[in-house]
Amino acid sequence: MKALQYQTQRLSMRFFMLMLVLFIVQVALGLILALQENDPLFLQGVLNFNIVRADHLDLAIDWILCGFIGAIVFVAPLLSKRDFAHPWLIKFLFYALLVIVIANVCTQYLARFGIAGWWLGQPWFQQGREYLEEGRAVQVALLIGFGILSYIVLRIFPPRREWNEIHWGLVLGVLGLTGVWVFAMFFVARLDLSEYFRWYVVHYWVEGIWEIIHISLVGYLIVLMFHAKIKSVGYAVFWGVAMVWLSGMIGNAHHYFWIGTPAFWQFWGSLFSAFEPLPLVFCFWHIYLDAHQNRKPLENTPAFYFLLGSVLLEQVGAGILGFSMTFARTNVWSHGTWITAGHAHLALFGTFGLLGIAVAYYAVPLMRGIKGFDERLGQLAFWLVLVGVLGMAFAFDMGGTVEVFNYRTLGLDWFGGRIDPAMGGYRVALLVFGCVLLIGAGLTVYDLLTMGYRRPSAGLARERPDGHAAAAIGARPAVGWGRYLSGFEVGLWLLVLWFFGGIITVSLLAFNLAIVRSGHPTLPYTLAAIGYAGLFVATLLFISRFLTSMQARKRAVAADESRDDMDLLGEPAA
Amino acid sequence: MSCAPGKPCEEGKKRRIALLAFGLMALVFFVLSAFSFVDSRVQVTPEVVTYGPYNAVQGKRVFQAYNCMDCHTIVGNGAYFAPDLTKEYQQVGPAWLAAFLGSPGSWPTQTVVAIHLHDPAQLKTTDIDTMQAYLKQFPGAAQRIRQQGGHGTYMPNLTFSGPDIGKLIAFLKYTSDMNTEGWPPKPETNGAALLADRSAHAATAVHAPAGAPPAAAASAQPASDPAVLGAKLVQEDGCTACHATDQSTKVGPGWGGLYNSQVKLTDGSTVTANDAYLARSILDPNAQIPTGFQPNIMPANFGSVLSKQQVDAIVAYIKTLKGNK
Amino acid sequence: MRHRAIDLVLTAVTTVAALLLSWPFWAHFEYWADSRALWIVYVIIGAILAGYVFYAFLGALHTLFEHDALDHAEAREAAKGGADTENRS
Ligand code: HEM
Ligand code: HEM
Ligand SMILES: [Fe+2]
Repeated sequence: MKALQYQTQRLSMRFFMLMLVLFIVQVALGLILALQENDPLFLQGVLNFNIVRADHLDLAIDWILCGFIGAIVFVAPLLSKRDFAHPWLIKFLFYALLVIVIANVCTQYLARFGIAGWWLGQPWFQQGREYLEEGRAVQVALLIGFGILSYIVLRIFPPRREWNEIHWGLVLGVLGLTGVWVFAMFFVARLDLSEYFRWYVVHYWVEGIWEIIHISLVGYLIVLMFHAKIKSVGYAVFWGVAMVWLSGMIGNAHHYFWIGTPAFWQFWGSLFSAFEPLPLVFCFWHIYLDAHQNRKPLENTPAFYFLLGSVLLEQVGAGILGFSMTFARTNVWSHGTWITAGHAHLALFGTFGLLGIAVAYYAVPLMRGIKGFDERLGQLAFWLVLVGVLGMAFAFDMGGTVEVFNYRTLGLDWFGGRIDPAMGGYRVALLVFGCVLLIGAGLTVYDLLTMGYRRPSAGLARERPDGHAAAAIGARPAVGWGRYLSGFEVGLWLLVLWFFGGIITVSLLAFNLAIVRSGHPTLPYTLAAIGYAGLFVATLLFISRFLTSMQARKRAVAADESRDDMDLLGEPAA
Repeated sequence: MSCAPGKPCEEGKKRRIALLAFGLMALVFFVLSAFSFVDSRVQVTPEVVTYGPYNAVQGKRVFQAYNCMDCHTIVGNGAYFAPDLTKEYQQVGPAWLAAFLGSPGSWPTQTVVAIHLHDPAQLKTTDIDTMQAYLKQFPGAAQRIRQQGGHGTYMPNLTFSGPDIGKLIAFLKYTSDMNTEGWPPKPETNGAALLADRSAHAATAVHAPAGAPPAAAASAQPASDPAVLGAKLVQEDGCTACHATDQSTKVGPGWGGLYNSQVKLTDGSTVTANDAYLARSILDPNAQIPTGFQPNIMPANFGSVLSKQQVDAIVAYIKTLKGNK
Repeated sequence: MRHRAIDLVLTAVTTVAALLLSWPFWAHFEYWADSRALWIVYVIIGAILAGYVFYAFLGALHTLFEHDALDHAEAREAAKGGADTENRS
């Protein structure tokens, strides 16, 4: 393990810790939501669904931002080859963020009494717009916070002519974060216009600026973890970012189909957002080539597990699920149903949440100066989180398909209990997989919080130092599931994933058929079941295949080393 | 490293083209955005939509203040915990909304809605002053009254003030008036009737169709005994909220011993309560009002939710009810 | 040249597929900005821009793989030259 190069990198630690705490709280709130979905009277009057949900959404954004800030604070000195000039400013940012988050969680409760804090025509305490529930006061504070972050980054970075694409990416990221936020800060009376601007923030953040930050950070992590060449990574970062914006600029219009804006958006939004997965496919290849192809050993498995999870769930959750519902003729059905929520969880948590955790796994051991930690807990946590979130997405998506049929095709009324029982099984499934995710999240947080303070377990002693024990198991050449993963095979896996994505898209298109509209759901139900189940199982298998092959590589390297050791001892190689 | 050795380096050019294309896209996007909100687009705006003394702008503030959007969807955006509100006003109308929002702890009954019918703002907005006309204009209200009236709702009691309710109604009227390009899609089939039909046929099929809610599946009874089916239907369709199964009177006449008895009508005539009379009383209740009862109390649109078989089943059931003479 | 021909064919196929999936079956031409004349303009500009995006994607993907091949060649050279050059990269 490398040592920490700049002392001020340590300032990132507090952001990672705050991220973890907010993460677990946010997931716990999600579980309350899932309970309320099953029993609407649960906590009613005490904590109504909308208040829990507002906090669930805002905290999701908050902890992901926390992860971004932590990651940026961690890598900025490396990218600038110097320490931060004003550490106090970063500390101030941290405490400001803490206050903002707590204030926001509390003021959401005022929605129970309809208190928005109107003053000067603006809602200062809370404003009840999905994803932008913060009141104006918190929003102004956040704007200042983003401004500070931008200043910090620009201040430490070297002169502009020395920037490579990663510098550009991060600068565009923090400036964009700030710039776009301004559109969240006005009360607009017209609903169509107000929604129009709401998507400036929500869409241009997640499918624009956050993706820029994601691409840049993932690229740089690949440089750090696998010594990839910064030039080829830079190339990938440029074209990744370019394609995000070439498709996503007009692609934003996939939110302008039904909000009262004209029909031409249905064409423009469908056409360009259809290409939004391209940068994700592109970046996946870049990760494969730069992380896998060079056969360098894997040093920190949990960090890479979560990193790969982030990149692959971006492909699956954002790319494929997003694609399936991005056409006006599919979105007209999926819009406003649980199908959206399936995409939302897998894309938002899958892509950005897992990235924050990956960076924390990379950075925390370095900052605590831990030489080799027990990686098995992190690996277990990863699999739990992955299975949990995929299962939740499955529950949302299948429940959503049933919801589309009952609510939109049959026109059954919501109350009168017609929709609820139909979706009931999936509501329970949501709860079950939510619990799996919660356990995984708990393990992740426990592992990262206590890493380096716990006593090393017996298993660790066996496996370390120098991977002798591992070498004994892994001395065989990698075969079967752990054999070398060729580019051709990766291509096949991607094709399989997209094949199921195609089936999902057709399942939504099928709702347009006369036979389905006359009340026969067999076709869309069957296609959806095959599509979603196939997609998520294939995702699990692919990740497992990819990681096993990386692990085998690690063992092979360790075996080489131990063979050398043993040679010295004059023993035959195992 | 962007250029392979031995090839002309075109990377700079490619990047400039990409930037140009992006500029073009931004241009397209902003021009189209301008087209979206100009007056000639003829989209309603909230300032002009009013309900009583309130307009929809005020309504939007109330809507945001209570964070309705984190339970409901509006134009499809928001939470999926509760129904979409975009076209709610068009479905249920102002009187039902006023009744519901005034006591969201339970679903309004017809009587409660009738009270709000005479609110001046309501009268001025809809120009409707009879319950019958109101329920015809707003079938969603009729359906909710019939199915839910008097039962508890899952919506928390938010204790809205009177002005808040008026403002919210103005806002929902505005969203109903909005042109949302055909969303939500109109159902092409009467799902409730379809499900009821299917479950009536379920005698031949062993299982209820996939996706049929248990409530409907529960009424899957052997078709050989329509009276049993009828007994289920009168529960499900809320008939028994008003009709007793003996001779007593709840809201409407009791059913016990009704079949083949002589019924005196308000027009002075006397008829025999045979199959035809009972079926007509279900489908067109205002045609024959027995003495001692008022017209326009019973919803007049059961015909739209009950199939002929179901009406027959209910009649068959009523036949089985004996009076306690 | 052959590369380019394949890319162009792929681009054409994808663009047509994307256009079909986005085709305005629903268009009602009531609003002037939704008029038939403008729809023709929309489809043409949209097709050109969309085609460009996909073509640029293919180009970038090719280059990504070329870089990788070059890196490998270099690494192999370095490995021949001596084991420790690799550590410095
Ligand atoms: C990492 C990237 C992405 C994230 C984090 C993300 C997240 C989200 C979230 C949270 C929503 C829910 C909005 C709501 O609650 O109404 C949403 C909606 C949507 N997303 Fe994504 N998304 C991503 C990428 C994509 C991509 C690449 C596509 C298209 C190919 C896409 C297509 C859509 C569509 C069509 C909707 C609208 C659903 C509706 O309102 O009907 N998303 N996205
Ligand atoms: C135990 C884990 C979780 C459970 C059980 C859960 C459950 C839920 C539920 C029930 C909803 C409301 C859906 C509705 O409106 O009907 C929701 C919404 C949402 N949650 Fe979660 N959640 C969990 C974790 C997360 C995580 C980790 C994230 C992101 C980091 C997240 C992001 C969101 C978002 C963005 C929405 C809005 C979705 C939309 O509008 O489409 N959730 N969640
Ligand atoms: Fe979007």
